[in-house]
Parts: sequence; structure tokens; C-alpha cells
Amino acid sequence: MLLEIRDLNLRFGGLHAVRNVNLQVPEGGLVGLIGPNGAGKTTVFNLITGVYQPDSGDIRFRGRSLVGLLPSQIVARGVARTFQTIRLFRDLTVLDNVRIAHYQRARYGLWPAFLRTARVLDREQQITERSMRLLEVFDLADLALEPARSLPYGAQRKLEMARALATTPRLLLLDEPAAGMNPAEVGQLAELIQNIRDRFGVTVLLIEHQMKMVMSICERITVLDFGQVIAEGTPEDVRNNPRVLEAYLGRRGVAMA
Amino acid sequence: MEFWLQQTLNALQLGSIYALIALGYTMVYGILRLINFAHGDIFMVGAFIGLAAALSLRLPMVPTLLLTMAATALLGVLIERLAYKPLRNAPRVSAVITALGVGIFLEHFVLATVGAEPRAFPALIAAHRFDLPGGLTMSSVQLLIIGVSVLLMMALDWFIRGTLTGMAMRAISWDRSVVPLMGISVDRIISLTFALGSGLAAAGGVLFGQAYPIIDAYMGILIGWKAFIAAVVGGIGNVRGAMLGGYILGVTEIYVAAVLPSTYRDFVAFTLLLLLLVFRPTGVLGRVQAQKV
Amino acid sequence: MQQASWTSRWAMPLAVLAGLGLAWAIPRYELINPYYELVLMYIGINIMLTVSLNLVNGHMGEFAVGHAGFMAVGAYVASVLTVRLIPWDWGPVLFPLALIGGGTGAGIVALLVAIPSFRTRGDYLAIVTLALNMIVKSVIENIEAIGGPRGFLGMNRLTTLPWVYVWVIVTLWAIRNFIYSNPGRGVLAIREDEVAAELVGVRTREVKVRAFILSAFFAGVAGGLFAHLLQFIHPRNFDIIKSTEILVMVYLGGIGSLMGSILGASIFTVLLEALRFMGVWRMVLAPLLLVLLMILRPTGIMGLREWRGLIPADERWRLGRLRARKGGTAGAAGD
Repeated sequence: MLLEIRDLNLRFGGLHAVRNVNLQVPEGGLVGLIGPNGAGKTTVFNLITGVYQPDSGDIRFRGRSLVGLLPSQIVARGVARTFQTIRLFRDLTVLDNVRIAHYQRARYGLWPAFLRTARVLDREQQITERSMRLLEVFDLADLALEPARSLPYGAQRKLEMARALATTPRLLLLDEPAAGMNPAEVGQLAELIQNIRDRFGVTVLLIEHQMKMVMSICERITVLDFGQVIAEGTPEDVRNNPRVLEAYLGRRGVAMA
Repeated sequence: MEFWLQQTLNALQLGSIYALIALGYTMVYGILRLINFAHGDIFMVGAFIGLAAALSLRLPMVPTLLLTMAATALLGVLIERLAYKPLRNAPRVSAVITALGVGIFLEHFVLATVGAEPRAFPALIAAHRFDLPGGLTMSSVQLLIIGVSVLLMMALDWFIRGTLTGMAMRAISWDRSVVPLMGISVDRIISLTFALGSGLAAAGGVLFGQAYPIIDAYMGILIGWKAFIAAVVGGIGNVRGAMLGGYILGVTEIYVAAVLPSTYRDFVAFTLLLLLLVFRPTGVLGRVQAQKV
Repeated sequence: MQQASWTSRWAMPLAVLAGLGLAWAIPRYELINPYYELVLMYIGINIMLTVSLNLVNGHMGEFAVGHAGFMAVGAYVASVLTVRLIPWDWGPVLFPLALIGGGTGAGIVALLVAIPSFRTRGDYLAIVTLALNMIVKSVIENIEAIGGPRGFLGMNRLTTLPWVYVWVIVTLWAIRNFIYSNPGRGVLAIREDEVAAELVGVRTREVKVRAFILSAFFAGVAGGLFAHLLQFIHPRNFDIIKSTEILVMVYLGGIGSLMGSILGASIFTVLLEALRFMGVWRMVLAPLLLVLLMILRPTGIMGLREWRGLIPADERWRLGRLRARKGGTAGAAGD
């Protein structure tokens, strides 16, 4: 297992946001995390990436615990993410957004930076080239010098993914990457995610509301409701699970369905 | 023990003045997210307006106070309309720099018109000493300052919590864009906020002139920054927090000055406040803003 | 490795050298009025103060309000070194070391701001930096050995136009290289979105510490230069009014822009000198002009833009190639 979450708990004052959550993501897998709004899915992502510290429970990545680490340390271990609301560096160029993600991979230190040695020039060139190659994968290369805020919505989402991949993660957390997309775009995105998984060798954990996409590309799905895991299994298992239907549609909704 | 109780009275006096000024900072911040760096200088101008009123009109305390508060309130509204309103949608730092500029302008305008010599503020009430239980004495000035301040603060608190306009002020501090949709004129409320804040600062100025009767054009700087820190300590944006913060600062300063040489006064006070902020960044009564990621 | 054109690579270094020659020649051959020379030195010192504060307030997007505190530390440390420790005759030679000593002292004090900045931002950080400014001033006033509230004097007039010029260039060069390098890009990321920066691997604590120390270092050096120009320093030189002046220069010129800082510092210094004839009304008019500028152009003169000449040559070349490639001429020769 690449990622193992065991009995994870988090309270915000009176709200028990994450309750005894168990989750497993196998290496190379494409796992979905779904549930109604407010179920705690993004909170789980925040716990994995170190934005929040859990009250109890453990998060193990490649066998080592992530609890207590700073987010940047967790990124160094190989976990990257995108955000539910896009959090790009808006006033910086598309290129710089990706270059910044190389912060821990630059392979030159502070003093050479001051002197701008030949090694620095060399590495800067490599970082730029690598960033451009990454942008090409996402069809963003032509927009490299544009400020990130000027990009259309779909392109911004792709840029976030490119930026996350620049950190060479083993595990990629995607938080509602299809939000706001039309069906055609969602189809392209589904293909893109699978391509990324194959091409970059990353494991993907995906939060999504677009059921068609989730059902079609995820190998396993975990369902959260009110902070608890209410179902886990293959798409078929989950699709027909009465508790899942109830969580999304409500009891009366299920009766009517 | 008696010594400390006596010092506490001094602390309450100083704290009252800080609280009055801190209220202006906190209300403007709550409603505009702007640190009005000119506010300390508005306090100073209020003191000078009070001085002018006392010297030329020779009215007793209450009319002088009310007149000064009204005049300074008007000044506050004027500054808001001319300097801050155009920048309401500009980057926040531009507004902050403008505020600094307005402050510098006020300081030097007073300097240019009134002169650099510190001025003596005439006493507006008869000096009495009241004997209190426990061997304490309280001067009439102390009573005046603490009494008037508490009265004004209670009035403000009632206004903010009990009236519709006060509610509108609080609503704007939560969400400015929604309020106009409910038929409330945001501009009017903002002007009112500045008027209230400036008026209270002016009251602080006049009372200050009674307690520490030497005033000069630069006095607003240090006192302004201290009052600002008091507002932050109490939790900036929180009206009751500003009141509390003012007294916390007053107590800290007086107690420190009672034990250490006067040159340490500011140093220790600022250090203690720095420590408080490191351990409780949102201040005593501030709301902890949970960030949504 | 890439190669830019000859002019692109050497234009700036040559201009800098020419400037150095001029800076040396002016006092040597008394080419201009000593008063103007003094103003030029003040401009230089102010440029250093502005550029260093801009790193934290502009590039990193923080709100540090007590920059004069670092200037004070640098001024006093450098002065104590030259007056008490370094033999008089060695003064001119060891002057750079004294300045570096001052800057280092300021850098150490900067940790007192950097560490709280991990948890606080924006307005709260303003208080912390302000409190530190006051504390530094208070501490100096309480140390009798360096003159306390009466001030410290006895410095030799070691600050000369060439020295100021050299240090201005060093400041610009160091900060420019920092910003356009990997360790420095983190600064911009923090300004844009600190949480996202941390989540894409930027070690934000490390970046903040570095930025604050770097900023304080050059403010300290500027303080040392200031002290050895005036030959007398006093805690009141470094209070909140001074900090406010530096803030004004930063925002006047444009945050996040090195050229902006140069312009802001120059215009502010010259304006203040030019209006000296107005006496006290000078400081009545100047802020009004500032307010007017803020209303008309809130982001300062340069906004967030940078002058081409201050972008490192290799980066300029790289961006030029990308621009060319975008125009459909893929694989075209650079520059």
C-alpha cells in the first residue's frame, strides 16, 4: 500500500469532521474519494498534506508516518495535490508557477544563487526546460509567459496539475479537477488523468462529484458521509450500495428513485 | 498594596484614553480592513481643537468636549471622503500609505500653524482630591477621565449592539458586498464609523489634555501606535476588545513604570505585547479565522 | 550552455563600471558641488533601505513597518567597531568589514521578526515589526556605554560616494540574483499564496528567514554608511518616522520592483531636498502629493513591473527565446 490511513479523527470545535476514517491506496492505483458536500473529503486531503494535524489516527505513506510533518516536508516525501478552489500564483507567469514547484529540486544553494555561478545558470536552464516540457504535456506551452490569472478556467485547472507534477510526486491528490467543466471537457480530463498515471507513474487519489468520470476511471472508490466511511469497493459495489444512495439522495430520494 | 491600588487608578486613567483612541482603529479596521495610521494624529488634532476651544471660547468641560468631538468627527469624515474613499477598491497597501501620508500631513500642518512649542492645556474642571476607602486618593481629573470614558464606551456599545445602524456596521465588517443589497447605504455607515472613531479620539485628546497638560504636534505618533497595539491586543475589529486592550496596555505601562526606570517603560510594554501576539496572534477577544484550504 | 548576444550580456556590467568610475571621479576632481554630492550619497543610502524593505514588503508581500530598527543596529554596531575597536588609521581599509559587521548584527536581530512571521501575517506582523523597532530604540537608549539617549559620536567620515555606489550595486545585485533564483522564487510564491506555496514544496519558513535576514543585512549596512556620513547618530534617527519614510519610498516607487525602489528612493530624497526652501510647509505639501499619487496610481510608479536591465541576462535571454517560439518561429536563434 502506498498510502494507508488508519482511524483518522479530526474535530473542529463541536464538528467531528473526520471520524475513524480508514483508507488505502495501492501503488499505481487510481482511487476515488466521493461523498456529498461537506462530507469531509477535502479535510482528508488537508490532513494527508499536513495542513491540519489529526486529533488521532495515523497516515502512512510508503510505510512512514506523515503526521506532524510540515506540508513542504510531505511534498518532499512525494505527495502533491491540487485544490478544490484553484490556488495558482495568479500574478506570476504560467512558467513561473511550474518553476517554483522545483524549489526542493533545484540542486543549488543560497550562496551560489547570490553569485549566479555557471552551475546556477545551468540548473536554471534545466528547470526552465523541464517546466516547458511539462507545460507541453498539458497543451499550455504557448501560454507560458501569460500571467496565470488570465488563463481560461479549464487551463487553470490543468496548470495546477502541471505544477503539482513538477514536484515529481509518487502520489497525486486531485481535488475536484472536473469542477465547472462541461461533459466534453470532463471526458478529456478523464483521459488526461489516466495518461498522467501511466506516463508519470503516479498513483492518483481523486475527489470528484462527476459520477460518470469517477465510475469510469477509478479502480476503487471510498465513500464518505458526515466524516465517516460508509462504503468502499469497486465502482459496481458502490454504485448499488443503498447507504451510498441514501447519502446522496436522502431517504425520500431513494424511495422515489 | 495601597501603592499598587493607587497605581491602578493611574492605569485606569491612562487605559481609558488608550481605549477611546483604540476604538477608532478597531471600528475602521472592522469595516474597511484598513489600519488608519492617521488616527493617532486625529487624536492630536482633537486635543488642539479642544485647546483652541478652551482658550478662545472659555466654555466649561462638557460643552468644550462636545464641541471638540463634533468638530473632529467632521474632520474624520472629510478625510475619509477625500483620501480613503477613492481607494476603496485599490490594493490595501495603497490605502495604508495614504493613511500614513494623511498622518504626516496633519502633524506638520499643526506644526506649521501652531508652532513647534508644546502648549499648555488649561484645566477645565476644578481640582479636587477625593478620599477613598483604603487610604487611596482620587483626583477629580482621574474621576473625570475614567467616568467620561466609561460613559462614552457604554454609549458606543449600546449603539453598536442595540440600534439598526450599529447592526449595519457590524454587518459590513462581516461582508461588505451583501449589505447594499439590503438597502443600506454603505457610504453613510462608513462615514458614520469615521465620525464616531474620530469623535472618541477627540474626547481622548481633550481628556489627555486634562491629565497630562502639555500637548505638542508629535504626540499623536507614539500614542497612536500604542493605541493601535491596544486594539490589536484586544482583537482588532472587536469593539469590546479595543476597550479591553486599552486597559491592558494602560495597566502594563503604569505597572512597569512603577518598578523600572522610565526609559524601560516603552521597552517592556512593547516586549510583553510582542509576546502576547506571538502566543495569541488574534488578540484576546479576536475571532480566530480558520482558513479554508 | 546558452549564449546571449554580446551587447545583452555586457551592457549592464559596463554601465555599472562606468558609474563606478564616475562615482570615484566626482569627489576626486570635485566635479560637482559638495552639497549635491551629499544628496547623491543620501540617495544611495535610501536606495539600499528601500530595496531591502521592498524585498520583504513588495516581493514577499508582507507588511513590515519597523525597518529603521535594523538600520539602527547596523549604524551602532559599525560605529562601535570603527570608533572603539578598529585603530583609526585602519579605518578606511577596514570600513567594509565594519559595515558587514553592522549588517550581520542587523541580520541576527531580524530573526526576532522572522520567527513570529511563521505564524502571523499582515497586520499582526506589522505590530511585531513596529514593536521591534521601538524595542531596538529603547535598548539603545538604555545602554550608557554607547551614549544612550544622548547619541553616539566620534565616527570618521569614512562614507564616500564611491563606497556608497559600490554598496548600492552590491545590494541590487545580491537581491536581484536572489529573486531570480530558485531559493528566491519562493519569496514571490509566498506573496501570491503562502499556503499553496508550502503545498508545492516551498519551505516557507526557510524562505522567510532568509528574506528577513537579507533585508535586515542591507538595511544595517545602509545604517553604517549613514553613521559614517553624519558622524553622529542618535536613537531618534531610527524611530517610527524614519521607518515611515522608508515605507513611503517603497510604495511610491512600486512594490516588487527593483527599479521602482531606485525611483522611489531617488524621487523622495530629491523632492525632500528640493522643497527644503518651504521650511516646515515642506512636510505639509509632500504628503499631499503622496496621497494624490496613491489615489491616481495606487501601485506606485512602476507597479509590479521591472525594468529589463535589472533582469539577469540569462533570464532575459531565456524569456526572449520563449517569446520568439510563441510567435511560431520554433527553434529560432536566441536574441
